[in-house]
Amino acid sequence: MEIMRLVVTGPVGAGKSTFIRSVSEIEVVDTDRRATDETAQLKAKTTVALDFGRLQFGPDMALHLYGTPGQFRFDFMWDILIRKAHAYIMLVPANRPAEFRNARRINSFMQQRSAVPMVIGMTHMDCEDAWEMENVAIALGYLDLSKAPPIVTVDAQDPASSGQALMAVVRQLMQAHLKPRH
Amino acid sequence: MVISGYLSDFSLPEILQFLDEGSKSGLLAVQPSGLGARAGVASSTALSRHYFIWFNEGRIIAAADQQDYRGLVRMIAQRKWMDESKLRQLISQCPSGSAFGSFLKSQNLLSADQLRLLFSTQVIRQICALFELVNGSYQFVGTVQPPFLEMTGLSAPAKEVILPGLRALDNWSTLAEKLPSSSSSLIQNLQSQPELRLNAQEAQVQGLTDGRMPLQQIAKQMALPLETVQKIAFRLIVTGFAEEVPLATEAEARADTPAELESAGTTGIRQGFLERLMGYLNQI
Repeated sequence: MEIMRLVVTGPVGAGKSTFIRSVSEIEVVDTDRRATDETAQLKAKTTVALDFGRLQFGPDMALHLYGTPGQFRFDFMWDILIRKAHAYIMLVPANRPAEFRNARRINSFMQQRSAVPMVIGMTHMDCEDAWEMENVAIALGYLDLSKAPPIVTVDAQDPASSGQALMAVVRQLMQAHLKPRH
Repeated sequence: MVISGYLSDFSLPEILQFLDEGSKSGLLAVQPSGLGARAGVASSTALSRHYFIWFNEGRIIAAADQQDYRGLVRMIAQRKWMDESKLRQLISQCPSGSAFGSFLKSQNLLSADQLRLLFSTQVIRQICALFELVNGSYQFVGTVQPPFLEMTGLSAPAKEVILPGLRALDNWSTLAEKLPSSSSSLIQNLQSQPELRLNAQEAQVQGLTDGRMPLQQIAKQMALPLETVQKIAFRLIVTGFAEEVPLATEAEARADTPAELESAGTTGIRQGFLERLMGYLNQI
Protein backbone atom coordinates (compact mmCIF):
# COMPACT_ATOMS: atom_id res chain seq x y z
CA MET A 1 0.00 0.00 0.00
CA GLU A 2 1.34 3.40 -1.01
CA ILE A 3 0.40 6.01 1.57
CA MET A 4 0.71 9.77 1.67
CA ARG A 5 0.65 11.24 5.16
CA LEU A 6 -0.79 14.73 5.52
CA VAL A 7 -0.72 16.58 8.82
CA VAL A 8 -3.58 18.98 9.53
CA THR A 9 -2.42 21.45 12.13
CA GLY A 10 -3.40 24.81 13.56
CA PRO A 11 -4.52 26.43 16.80
CA VAL A 12 -7.55 25.50 18.90
CA GLY A 13 -10.84 26.12 17.10
CA ALA A 14 -9.36 26.31 13.61
CA GLY A 15 -11.54 23.42 12.36
CA LYS A 16 -8.94 20.64 12.08
CA SER A 17 -11.20 17.81 13.26
CA THR A 18 -14.07 19.12 11.12
CA PHE A 19 -11.78 19.31 8.09
CA ILE A 20 -10.70 15.69 8.46
CA ARG A 21 -14.26 14.51 9.04
CA SER A 22 -15.47 16.31 5.94
CA VAL A 23 -13.10 14.45 3.61
CA SER A 24 -12.44 11.15 5.35
CA GLU A 25 -14.19 8.11 3.92
CA ILE A 26 -13.92 6.28 7.22
CA GLU A 27 -15.35 7.26 10.56
CA VAL A 28 -12.67 9.53 11.93
CA VAL A 29 -10.67 7.99 14.71
CA ASP A 30 -10.53 10.79 17.20
CA THR A 31 -9.16 11.29 20.65
CA ASP A 32 -11.50 14.13 21.52
CA ARG A 33 -12.12 14.58 25.21
CA ARG A 34 -14.26 17.01 27.14
CA ALA A 35 -12.39 20.30 27.28
CA THR A 36 -11.70 21.27 30.84
CA ASP A 37 -9.49 24.33 30.53
CA GLU A 38 -9.98 27.66 28.72
CA THR A 39 -10.70 25.67 25.54
CA ALA A 40 -14.08 24.76 27.05
CA GLN A 41 -15.22 28.33 26.41
CA LEU A 42 -14.68 27.71 22.72
CA LYS A 43 -15.88 24.15 22.25
CA ALA A 44 -17.12 21.25 24.35
CA LYS A 45 -14.56 18.71 23.12
CA THR A 46 -10.94 19.05 22.14
CA THR A 47 -8.43 16.73 20.50
CA VAL A 48 -5.87 15.43 22.99
CA ALA A 49 -3.71 13.15 20.83
CA LEU A 50 -4.68 13.08 17.17
CA ASP A 51 -7.49 12.71 14.69
CA PHE A 52 -7.08 10.16 11.95
CA GLY A 53 -8.94 10.06 8.65
CA ARG A 54 -8.36 8.22 5.40
CA LEU A 55 -9.08 8.61 1.71
CA GLN A 56 -8.48 5.47 -0.30
CA PHE A 57 -8.45 6.25 -3.99
CA GLY A 58 -7.11 3.06 -5.46
CA PRO A 59 -6.64 -0.55 -4.42
CA ASP A 60 -3.17 0.25 -3.14
CA MET A 61 -3.17 4.03 -2.73
CA ALA A 62 -4.40 6.06 0.22
CA LEU A 63 -4.13 9.50 1.77
CA HIS A 64 -3.88 9.46 5.54
CA LEU A 65 -4.85 12.61 7.39
CA TYR A 66 -3.50 13.26 10.86
CA GLY A 67 -4.98 16.13 12.86
CA THR A 68 -2.80 17.55 15.61
CA PRO A 69 -4.09 18.72 18.98
CA GLY A 70 -4.31 22.51 19.03
CA GLN A 71 -3.18 22.93 22.60
CA PHE A 72 0.49 23.42 23.35
CA ARG A 73 0.60 20.93 26.19
CA PHE A 74 0.18 18.20 23.58
CA ASP A 75 3.01 19.50 21.43
CA PHE A 76 4.86 16.18 21.69
CA MET A 77 2.25 14.86 19.23
CA TRP A 78 3.11 17.58 16.74
CA ASP A 79 6.68 16.32 16.76
CA ILE A 80 5.70 12.71 16.10
CA LEU A 81 3.31 13.62 13.32
CA ILE A 82 5.37 16.17 11.40
CA ARG A 83 8.46 13.95 11.28
CA LYS A 84 6.58 11.33 9.27
CA ALA A 85 4.51 13.74 7.17
CA HIS A 86 4.85 14.27 3.42
CA ALA A 87 3.12 17.66 3.68
CA TYR A 88 1.05 19.70 6.08
CA ILE A 89 -1.78 22.17 6.01
CA MET A 90 -2.07 24.76 8.74
CA LEU A 91 -5.61 25.93 9.39
CA VAL A 92 -5.96 29.42 10.86
CA PRO A 93 -9.27 30.83 12.14
CA ALA A 94 -9.38 34.24 10.44
CA ASN A 95 -11.93 35.51 12.94
CA ARG A 96 -9.81 34.81 16.04
CA PRO A 97 -6.80 37.16 16.19
CA ALA A 98 -6.06 35.79 19.65
CA GLU A 99 -4.93 32.60 17.89
CA PHE A 100 -2.67 34.21 15.28
CA ARG A 101 0.36 34.13 17.57
CA ASN A 102 -0.33 30.49 18.43
CA ALA A 103 -0.58 29.68 14.72
CA ARG A 104 2.77 31.39 14.23
CA ARG A 105 4.29 29.32 17.05
CA ILE A 106 2.94 26.08 15.60
CA ASN A 107 4.26 26.98 12.16
CA SER A 108 7.73 27.79 13.54
CA PHE A 109 7.69 24.42 15.29
CA MET A 110 6.78 22.57 12.09
CA GLN A 111 9.31 24.43 9.95
CA GLN A 112 12.09 23.80 12.44
CA ARG A 113 11.49 20.07 12.13
CA SER A 114 10.46 19.56 8.55
CA ALA A 115 10.94 21.09 5.13
CA VAL A 116 7.92 19.36 3.59
CA PRO A 117 5.55 21.41 1.42
CA MET A 118 2.80 23.26 3.26
CA VAL A 119 -0.36 25.25 2.62
CA ILE A 120 -2.18 27.71 4.85
CA GLY A 121 -5.95 27.30 5.03
CA MET A 122 -7.93 30.25 6.33
CA THR A 123 -11.09 29.12 8.04
CA HIS A 124 -14.13 31.06 9.32
CA MET A 125 -13.60 33.62 6.55
CA ASP A 126 -17.38 34.00 6.31
CA CYS A 127 -17.59 35.36 9.86
CA GLU A 128 -18.32 39.06 10.19
CA ASP A 129 -15.22 39.72 12.25
CA ALA A 130 -12.84 37.71 10.04
CA TRP A 131 -9.62 39.46 9.02
CA GLU A 132 -8.76 39.72 5.35
CA MET A 133 -6.47 36.98 4.08
CA GLU A 134 -3.59 39.37 3.40
CA ASN A 135 -3.77 40.76 6.94
CA VAL A 136 -3.82 37.32 8.55
CA ALA A 137 -0.75 36.47 6.48
CA ILE A 138 1.06 39.53 7.89
CA ALA A 139 0.02 38.57 11.42
CA LEU A 140 1.51 35.12 10.74
CA GLY A 141 4.80 36.73 9.75
CA TYR A 142 4.44 36.46 5.95
CA LEU A 143 5.27 40.05 5.09
CA ASP A 144 5.82 39.35 1.40
CA LEU A 145 2.99 37.31 -0.08
CA SER A 146 5.14 36.33 -3.07
CA LYS A 147 7.36 34.42 -0.64
CA ALA A 148 4.50 32.96 1.39
CA PRO A 149 3.21 29.41 0.95
CA PRO A 150 -0.09 29.07 -0.93
CA ILE A 151 -2.98 30.47 1.11
CA VAL A 152 -6.48 29.14 0.48
CA THR A 153 -9.88 29.80 2.00
CA VAL A 154 -11.40 26.70 3.58
CA ASP A 155 -14.89 25.94 4.78
CA ALA A 156 -13.94 22.92 6.86
CA GLN A 157 -17.55 21.70 6.95
CA ASP A 158 -17.76 21.55 3.18
CA PRO A 159 -16.13 18.47 1.62
CA ALA A 160 -15.66 20.27 -1.71
CA SER A 161 -13.90 23.19 -0.03
CA SER A 162 -11.70 20.88 2.04
CA GLY A 163 -10.99 18.91 -1.14
CA GLN A 164 -9.84 22.10 -2.87
CA ALA A 165 -7.45 22.75 0.01
CA LEU A 166 -6.09 19.20 -0.33
CA MET A 167 -5.56 19.84 -4.03
CA ALA A 168 -3.49 22.91 -3.17
CA VAL A 169 -1.31 20.66 -1.01
CA VAL A 170 -0.96 18.08 -3.78
CA ARG A 171 -0.01 20.85 -6.23
CA GLN A 172 2.73 21.91 -3.80
CA LEU A 173 4.04 18.36 -3.68
CA MET A 174 3.97 18.13 -7.47
CA GLN A 175 5.96 21.35 -7.74
CA ALA A 176 8.46 20.01 -5.22
CA HIS A 177 8.86 17.00 -7.53
CA LEU A 178 9.66 19.25 -10.46
CA LYS A 179 12.35 21.24 -8.63
CA PRO A 180 15.86 20.08 -9.50
CA ARG A 181 17.55 18.25 -6.63
CA HIS A 182 21.15 19.12 -5.76
CA MET B 1 -9.68 48.31 5.44
CA VAL B 2 -11.22 48.11 8.91
CA ILE B 3 -9.92 45.88 11.69
CA SER B 4 -11.47 45.90 15.13
CA GLY B 5 -11.43 43.80 18.26
CA TYR B 6 -10.41 43.60 21.88
CA LEU B 7 -6.97 44.17 23.33
CA SER B 8 -7.42 41.01 25.40
CA ASP B 9 -7.37 39.06 22.11
CA PHE B 10 -4.81 41.06 20.17
CA SER B 11 -2.68 43.22 22.42
CA LEU B 12 -1.52 46.73 21.63
CA PRO B 13 2.12 45.66 21.03
CA GLU B 14 0.83 43.01 18.61
CA ILE B 15 -1.36 45.55 16.81
CA LEU B 16 1.58 47.94 16.48
CA GLN B 17 3.77 45.10 15.20
CA PHE B 18 1.09 44.17 12.65
CA LEU B 19 0.70 47.77 11.42
CA ASP B 20 4.49 48.23 11.23
CA GLU B 21 5.18 44.95 9.42
CA GLY B 22 2.19 45.44 7.12
CA SER B 23 3.31 49.03 6.32
CA LYS B 24 -0.24 50.15 7.04
CA SER B 25 -1.54 53.71 6.76
CA GLY B 26 -4.58 54.91 8.65
CA LEU B 27 -5.97 55.65 12.08
CA LEU B 28 -5.93 53.35 15.09
CA ALA B 29 -8.49 54.27 17.75
CA VAL B 30 -8.18 52.65 21.18
CA GLN B 31 -10.91 52.83 23.80
CA PRO B 32 -9.93 51.71 27.29
CA SER B 33 -12.22 49.72 29.50
CA GLY B 34 -9.79 49.46 32.41
CA LEU B 35 -6.50 51.11 33.25
CA GLY B 36 -3.51 50.06 35.29
CA ALA B 37 -2.18 52.05 38.17
CA ARG B 38 0.49 53.95 36.24
CA ALA B 39 -1.72 55.43 33.56
CA GLY B 40 -1.76 58.67 35.53
CA VAL B 41 -5.26 59.71 34.62
CA ALA B 42 -8.48 59.58 36.57
CA SER B 43 -10.20 56.34 35.59
CA SER B 44 -13.66 57.81 34.91
CA THR B 45 -12.19 60.30 32.44
CA ALA B 46 -9.84 57.78 30.92
CA LEU B 47 -12.49 55.13 30.39
CA SER B 48 -14.71 57.39 28.31
CA ARG B 49 -11.75 58.65 26.29
CA HIS B 50 -10.53 57.41 22.95
CA TYR B 51 -6.88 57.48 21.99
CA PHE B 52 -5.92 58.04 18.39
CA ILE B 53 -2.71 56.97 16.65
CA TRP B 54 -2.11 57.81 13.00
CA PHE B 55 0.11 55.70 10.73
CA ASN B 56 1.76 56.24 7.40
CA GLU B 57 3.23 53.10 5.83
CA GLY B 58 3.82 51.52 9.20
CA ARG B 59 5.32 54.61 10.79
CA ILE B 60 3.56 56.50 13.56
CA ILE B 61 3.07 60.11 12.52
CA ALA B 62 0.89 61.48 15.34
CA ALA B 63 -1.08 60.54 18.43
CA ALA B 64 -3.80 62.33 20.38
CA ASP B 65 -6.39 61.76 23.07
CA GLN B 66 -8.97 63.89 21.25
CA GLN B 67 -9.89 64.03 17.61
CA ASP B 68 -10.15 67.82 17.43
CA TYR B 69 -6.75 68.22 15.72
CA ARG B 70 -5.65 70.74 18.35
CA GLY B 71 -3.43 68.50 20.49
CA LEU B 72 -0.16 69.82 19.05
CA VAL B 73 -1.31 73.43 19.40
CA ARG B 74 -2.22 72.81 23.05
CA MET B 75 1.18 71.28 23.75
CA ILE B 76 3.01 74.24 22.19
CA ALA B 77 0.84 76.72 24.09
CA GLN B 78 1.29 74.84 27.40
CA ARG B 79 5.05 75.16 27.00
CA LYS B 80 4.53 78.89 26.35
CA TRP B 81 6.50 78.69 23.14
CA MET B 82 3.67 80.60 21.42
CA ASP B 83 0.29 81.83 22.54
CA GLU B 84 -2.90 80.27 21.23
CA SER B 85 -4.09 83.32 19.28
CA LYS B 86 -0.81 83.43 17.36
CA LEU B 87 -1.07 79.68 16.76
CA ARG B 88 -4.64 80.05 15.44
CA GLN B 89 -3.37 82.63 13.00
CA LEU B 90 -0.53 80.34 11.92
CA ILE B 91 -2.93 77.45 11.34
CA SER B 92 -4.72 79.51 8.72
CA GLN B 93 -1.37 80.15 7.01
CA CYS B 94 -0.20 76.53 7.05
CA PRO B 95 -0.23 75.15 3.47
CA SER B 96 -2.64 72.26 3.04
CA GLY B 97 -0.92 68.91 3.05
CA SER B 98 1.93 70.16 5.28
CA ALA B 99 2.60 68.97 8.80
CA PHE B 100 1.97 71.91 11.15
CA GLY B 101 5.23 71.26 13.03
CA SER B 102 7.26 71.32 9.82
CA PHE B 103 5.54 74.58 8.84
CA LEU B 104 6.45 76.20 12.20
CA LYS B 105 10.05 75.06 11.74
CA SER B 106 10.16 76.45 8.21
CA GLN B 107 9.06 79.81 9.67
CA ASN B 108 11.86 79.56 12.29
CA LEU B 109 9.23 79.52 15.02
CA LEU B 110 10.25 76.11 16.39
CA SER B 111 13.64 74.40 16.41
CA ALA B 112 14.36 70.79 15.46
CA ASP B 113 14.96 70.01 19.15
CA GLN B 114 11.60 71.47 20.11
CA LEU B 115 9.88 69.35 17.47
CA ARG B 116 11.66 66.24 18.74
CA LEU B 117 10.50 66.98 22.28
CA LEU B 118 6.92 67.50 21.08
CA PHE B 119 7.00 64.24 19.11
CA SER B 120 8.40 62.33 22.06
CA THR B 121 5.69 63.67 24.38
CA GLN B 122 2.86 63.37 21.90
CA VAL B 123 3.67 59.96 20.47
CA ILE B 124 6.16 57.93 22.46
CA ARG B 125 5.06 58.78 26.02
CA GLN B 126 1.37 58.73 25.18
CA ILE B 127 1.47 55.34 23.46
CA CYS B 128 3.75 53.80 26.08
CA ALA B 129 1.17 54.77 28.72
CA LEU B 130 -1.46 52.86 26.72
CA PHE B 131 0.50 49.63 27.22
CA GLU B 132 -0.84 49.76 30.79
CA LEU B 133 -4.39 49.20 29.57
CA VAL B 134 -5.92 46.23 31.32
CA ASN B 135 -8.61 45.96 28.68
CA GLY B 136 -10.16 47.87 25.87
CA SER B 137 -11.15 47.75 22.27
CA TYR B 138 -9.45 48.92 19.11
CA GLN B 139 -10.41 49.84 15.61
CA PHE B 140 -8.08 50.51 12.72
CA VAL B 141 -9.42 52.32 9.67
CA GLY B 142 -7.17 52.38 6.67
CA THR B 143 -8.74 55.19 4.70
CA VAL B 144 -8.20 58.45 6.59
CA GLN B 145 -6.38 61.64 5.75
CA PRO B 146 -3.20 62.32 7.74
CA PRO B 147 -3.92 64.75 10.63
CA PHE B 148 -1.69 67.55 9.34
CA LEU B 149 -2.41 69.89 12.26
CA GLU B 150 -1.43 67.20 14.78
CA MET B 151 1.77 66.31 12.96
CA THR B 152 5.19 67.50 14.00
CA GLY B 153 6.55 66.26 10.68
CA LEU B 154 8.51 63.57 12.48
CA SER B 155 7.63 59.89 12.46
CA ALA B 156 8.85 56.64 13.98
CA PRO B 157 8.42 52.98 13.03
CA ALA B 158 5.85 51.47 15.39
CA LYS B 159 8.50 49.01 16.62
CA GLU B 160 10.60 51.93 17.86
CA VAL B 161 7.72 52.74 20.19
CA ILE B 162 7.01 49.15 21.23
CA LEU B 163 10.51 48.55 22.58
CA PRO B 164 10.74 51.46 25.09
CA GLY B 165 7.06 51.01 25.91
CA LEU B 166 7.52 47.40 26.97
CA ARG B 167 10.80 48.10 28.75
CA ALA B 168 9.02 50.64 30.94
CA LEU B 169 5.94 48.48 31.51
CA ASP B 170 5.38 47.44 35.14
CA ASN B 171 2.03 45.74 34.93
CA TRP B 172 2.23 42.80 32.52
CA SER B 173 -1.07 41.22 33.57
CA THR B 174 -2.70 41.81 30.16
CA LEU B 175 0.28 40.36 28.36
CA ALA B 176 0.84 37.38 30.67
CA GLU B 177 -0.85 34.98 28.23
CA LYS B 178 1.21 36.33 25.35
CA LEU B 179 4.58 35.61 26.97
CA PRO B 180 6.48 32.76 25.34
CA SER B 181 6.47 29.49 27.21
CA SER B 182 9.37 28.73 29.55
CA SER B 183 9.97 25.55 27.55
CA SER B 184 10.08 27.36 24.20
CA SER B 185 13.20 28.48 22.41
CA LEU B 186 13.77 31.41 20.08
CA ILE B 187 15.02 31.55 16.51
CA GLN B 188 16.10 34.59 14.56
CA ASN B 189 13.37 36.17 12.50
CA LEU B 190 14.80 35.94 9.00
CA GLN B 191 12.15 38.17 7.45
CA SER B 192 12.88 41.27 9.50
CA GLN B 193 15.88 42.35 11.49
CA PRO B 194 14.89 45.85 12.64
CA GLU B 195 17.43 48.58 13.15
CA LEU B 196 16.71 49.06 16.83
CA ARG B 197 19.27 49.31 19.57
CA LEU B 198 18.90 46.46 22.04
CA ASN B 199 20.00 46.83 25.65
CA ALA B 200 22.62 44.47 27.08
CA GLN B 201 20.16 41.84 28.35
CA GLU B 202 18.10 41.88 25.15
CA ALA B 203 21.26 41.49 23.07
CA GLN B 204 22.37 38.58 25.26
CA VAL B 205 19.05 36.76 24.85
CA GLN B 206 19.09 37.55 21.12
CA GLY B 207 22.53 35.94 20.98
CA LEU B 208 21.00 32.72 22.30
CA THR B 209 18.31 32.39 19.64
CA ASP B 210 19.45 29.01 18.39
CA GLY B 211 16.09 27.21 18.30
CA ARG B 212 17.33 24.67 20.84
CA MET B 213 17.85 26.35 24.22
CA PRO B 214 14.60 26.77 26.18
CA LEU B 215 13.97 30.09 27.90
CA GLN B 216 14.24 28.48 31.33
CA GLN B 217 17.81 27.45 30.48
CA ILE B 218 18.61 30.92 29.15
CA ALA B 219 17.31 32.36 32.42
CA LYS B 220 19.57 30.02 34.38
CA GLN B 221 22.56 30.84 32.22
CA MET B 222 21.98 34.59 32.57
CA ALA B 223 21.12 34.28 36.28
CA LEU B 224 17.87 36.13 35.68
CA PRO B 225 14.35 35.32 36.86
CA LEU B 226 12.50 33.28 34.23
CA GLU B 227 9.76 35.91 33.96
CA THR B 228 12.33 38.59 33.11
CA VAL B 229 13.68 36.44 30.27
CA GLN B 230 10.15 35.73 29.04
CA LYS B 231 9.45 39.48 28.93
CA ILE B 232 12.71 40.11 27.07
CA ALA B 233 11.80 37.32 24.64
CA PHE B 234 8.37 38.86 24.08
CA ARG B 235 10.02 42.20 23.31
CA LEU B 236 12.31 40.52 20.78
CA ILE B 237 9.32 38.74 19.19
CA VAL B 238 7.04 41.77 18.80
CA THR B 239 9.85 43.92 17.47
CA GLY B 240 10.66 41.34 14.80
CA PHE B 241 14.04 40.14 16.06
CA ALA B 242 12.98 36.61 16.98
CA GLU B 243 10.30 33.96 16.65
CA GLU B 244 9.14 31.61 19.37
CA VAL B 245 9.64 27.90 18.70
CA PRO B 246 7.98 25.45 21.08
CA LEU B 247 10.22 22.53 22.01
CA ALA B 248 8.44 19.17 22.21
CA THR B 249 8.91 16.79 25.09
CA GLU B 250 10.81 13.87 23.59
CA ALA B 251 10.17 11.37 26.42
CA GLU B 252 6.42 11.78 26.23
CA ALA B 253 6.58 11.53 22.47
CA ARG B 254 8.02 8.03 22.55
CA ALA B 255 5.35 6.81 24.92
CA ASP B 256 2.46 8.02 22.77
CA THR B 257 3.66 7.25 19.25
CA PRO B 258 0.90 5.53 17.26
CA ALA B 259 2.11 2.14 16.04
CA GLU B 260 1.15 2.95 12.45
CA LEU B 261 3.42 5.97 12.39
CA GLU B 262 6.20 4.24 14.26
CA SER B 263 6.65 1.83 11.36
CA ALA B 264 6.10 4.45 8.64
CA GLY B 265 9.01 5.23 6.40
CA THR B 266 9.89 8.65 5.05
CA THR B 267 10.12 7.80 1.39
CA GLY B 268 8.85 10.33 -1.12
CA ILE B 269 5.62 10.20 -3.06
CA ARG B 270 5.60 9.26 -6.73
CA GLN B 271 4.38 11.76 -9.31
CA GLY B 272 1.91 9.13 -10.58
CA PHE B 273 0.45 8.79 -7.09
CA LEU B 274 -0.05 12.55 -6.85
CA GLU B 275 -1.70 12.71 -10.27
CA ARG B 276 -4.11 9.96 -9.31
CA LEU B 277 -4.90 11.67 -6.02
CA MET B 278 -5.46 14.98 -7.79
CA GLY B 279 -7.91 13.30 -10.15
CA TYR B 280 -9.77 11.77 -7.20
CA LEU B 281 -9.95 15.05 -5.28
CA ASN B 282 -11.28 16.80 -8.37
CA GLN B 283 -14.39 14.65 -8.12
CA ILE B 284 -15.21 15.42 -4.47
